[in-house]
Amino acid sequence: MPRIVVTGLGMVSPLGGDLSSSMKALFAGERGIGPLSLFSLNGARSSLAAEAKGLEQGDIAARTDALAVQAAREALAHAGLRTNEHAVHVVVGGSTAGMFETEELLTQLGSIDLTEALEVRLRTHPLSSTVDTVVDRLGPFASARTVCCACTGGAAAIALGLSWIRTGRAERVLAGGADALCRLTYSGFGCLGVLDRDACRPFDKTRAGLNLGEGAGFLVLEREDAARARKATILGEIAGVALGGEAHHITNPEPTGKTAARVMRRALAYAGLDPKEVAYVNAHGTATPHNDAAESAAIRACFGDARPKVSSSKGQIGHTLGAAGAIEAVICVESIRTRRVPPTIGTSEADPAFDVDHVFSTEEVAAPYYALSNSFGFGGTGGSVVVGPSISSRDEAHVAAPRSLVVTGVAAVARGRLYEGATALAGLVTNVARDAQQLSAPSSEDPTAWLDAGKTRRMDRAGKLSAAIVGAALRDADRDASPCDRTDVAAISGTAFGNVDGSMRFMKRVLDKGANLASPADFPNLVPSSPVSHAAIYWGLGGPALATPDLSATAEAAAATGMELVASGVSSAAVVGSVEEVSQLAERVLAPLLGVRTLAAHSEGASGIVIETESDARARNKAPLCRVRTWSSRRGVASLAELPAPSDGARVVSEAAVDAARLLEGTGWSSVERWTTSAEAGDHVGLGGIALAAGASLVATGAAKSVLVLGEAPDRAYAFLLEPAATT
Amino acid sequence: MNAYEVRVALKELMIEELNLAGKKPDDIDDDAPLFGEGLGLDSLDALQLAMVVEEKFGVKVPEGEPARRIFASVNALVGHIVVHRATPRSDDVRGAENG
Repeated sequence: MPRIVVTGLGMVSPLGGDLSSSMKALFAGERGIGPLSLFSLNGARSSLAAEAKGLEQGDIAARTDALAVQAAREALAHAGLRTNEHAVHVVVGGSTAGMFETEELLTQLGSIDLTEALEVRLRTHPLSSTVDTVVDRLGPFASARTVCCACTGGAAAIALGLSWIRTGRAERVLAGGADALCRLTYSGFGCLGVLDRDACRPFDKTRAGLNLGEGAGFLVLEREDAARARKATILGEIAGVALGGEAHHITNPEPTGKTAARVMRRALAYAGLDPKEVAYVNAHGTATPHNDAAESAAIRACFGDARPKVSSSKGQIGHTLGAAGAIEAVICVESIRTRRVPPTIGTSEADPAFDVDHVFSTEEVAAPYYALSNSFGFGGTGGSVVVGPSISSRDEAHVAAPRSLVVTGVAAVARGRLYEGATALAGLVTNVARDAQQLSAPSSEDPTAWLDAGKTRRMDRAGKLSAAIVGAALRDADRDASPCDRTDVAAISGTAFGNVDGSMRFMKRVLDKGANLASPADFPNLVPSSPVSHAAIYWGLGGPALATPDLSATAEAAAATGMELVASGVSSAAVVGSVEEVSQLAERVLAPLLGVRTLAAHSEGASGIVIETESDARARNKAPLCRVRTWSSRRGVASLAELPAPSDGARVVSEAAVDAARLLEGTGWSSVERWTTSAEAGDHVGLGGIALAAGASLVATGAAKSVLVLGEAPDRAYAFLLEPAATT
Repeated sequence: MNAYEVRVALKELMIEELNLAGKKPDDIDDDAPLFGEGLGLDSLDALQLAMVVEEKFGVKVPEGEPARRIFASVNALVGHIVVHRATPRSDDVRGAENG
């Protein structure tokens, strides 16, 4: 297996509008923290922020998207890579997208007329807006994905990019993260009491919180042989990654840092490195009392006597949220390349309890080294990225081939009912015409009522639906009860528009009453990955909790992401699907604007599908529902021509709105019998997840010999080929 | 508002704002610790409670060590509100009574 190398870097930060100005200022110890000028907010806890410098927004509607395009453009140019000459895939981590442009507007909808200019702004609201803008401005790209897990988004994007290359799905990936400042995060972090009123002091005895920042970081990742074939300059390598979840609390980190230590160890193991080979840790180091204590404990636990140098960039660039993991990985590549360890700035007296080797002014290092970058976020998802030098003798022989995947559990919520297992799910697809279908009376029961009320007190509707669907899918997979190992089980869920109604209510309160009266209980539920984080905490899942927005193909994006992370060994198993709440704002305003089909009568819906390796299922004597032979995630929707030919008894399954004829044109699948999700499956943008769960169920019950599940949204398409699992 | 009225309004606010579904005001012990054991509340609940106390009673709860003392029990919090609620505004009173 060739190494995965870095051939291009791009950055926009509070220190500069490009890589070289940002890095020069970083090594010089400059601070990009100053008075907040982007907006004013009555009752705000702080008046400081680390605003991006040198951003040229041009005609790009959203600040986050402009940050991403500027850094991504620089990274591609740095790599000398043209997207129209090579197949490049793109993955972006983030948490706000067009929130800055839409947060005030959302509170006025219904009382104002939507002009064309306002519509342009509103279209930036979905979290996929950032990657879509990158595709639009810098494409074509072979595939595009968004991953949201609060402040770990950038690290998760790198992890997913690495998964694609390691499993042979891509040779070249543009991976990064971007987030702009906005009133919602500013008042949200403020009401949680974690914003320092002064410039922050990471690891200081008197540290009192973070400063919010903004920016974007991007890396071009390439398989080494592909990079060498085009004579690219190799800047460094991504040697290993790991993602994990604490399953502890929706905002607070685990005080012992034991999961953070596990994630770091796992990243080193993935890289095949001993802790003593890592000379530098770029800490998450937010300067909140809790983070710095837990992270220091984790660094000590992971590295022991190896004692790498530790610094946090947050005193210079602030906390850039979903961009942080990507920006700080870029910093690590530049640190190793120039053999300089950047400093922690702002700290006057390090907390003696931490006992790590701090760097307070840039230090030169004589020999090549590896560096590790940490990210930790709300909901407990953490990520570590191991970066190495351009020339390395590191052995990649331990890397295994892509692992064979199976589906072992399925569940869905539709029209107020909880469906669990293949027999129930197979009934949610049909070949009967819609107007000839019998529809049951709507259920008056709550499909989440069986959850433990004491454990759901904090959850909003999406959180409860997520906990119920993840639990039901795990139960069907016989993974819900001890002693089944859930250490590295990921929870990945699509959500088309995030918590639009909740964001609107939160912002209305902030704008009407002042940021000092923002609701600390509501803010965590506005994080896009909050529903799956709640589910992961409820069920004790130790893998990452990720949200994968992709317009109406979000469940499909979640399924593909889960399969990719499990196939590459980043996660051991994943519960994938989507959760869609009833939201008139999303359905009546946002969906039509984005070309996502409008729905006559909206209903809530959810799906959960358990993906694991064939060998794990066999080891625990669990008969899979089906095997996942292959899957495809495409931009531009040229064709799905790479699909294997259909077998006899094959079937195509999708929701009714999918234009299967167009997607399958020219393939052997165009004349295969097609079944669609039934009226009983409800009417919501998560129907693709129900189609996938039902498709797996048709194979499991023997109703079909193989099933091709299709999903689409404007300019994007997904396909999953499911076949009977091998009999043992 | 006297201490009795503040106590009644505060407990109703807690049940509503902290989603203590199924709990009645009488279930909340006046002298028991608010956080940790008992109601099972944590630091996020403390932040929410401090915010609604500021909104409904017009009384700020300071951060850090003083907050620990004020949040020791319902009675301690009621005492803090009564002492600092020197000049109630009419809308605060209405908000509290509706709480």
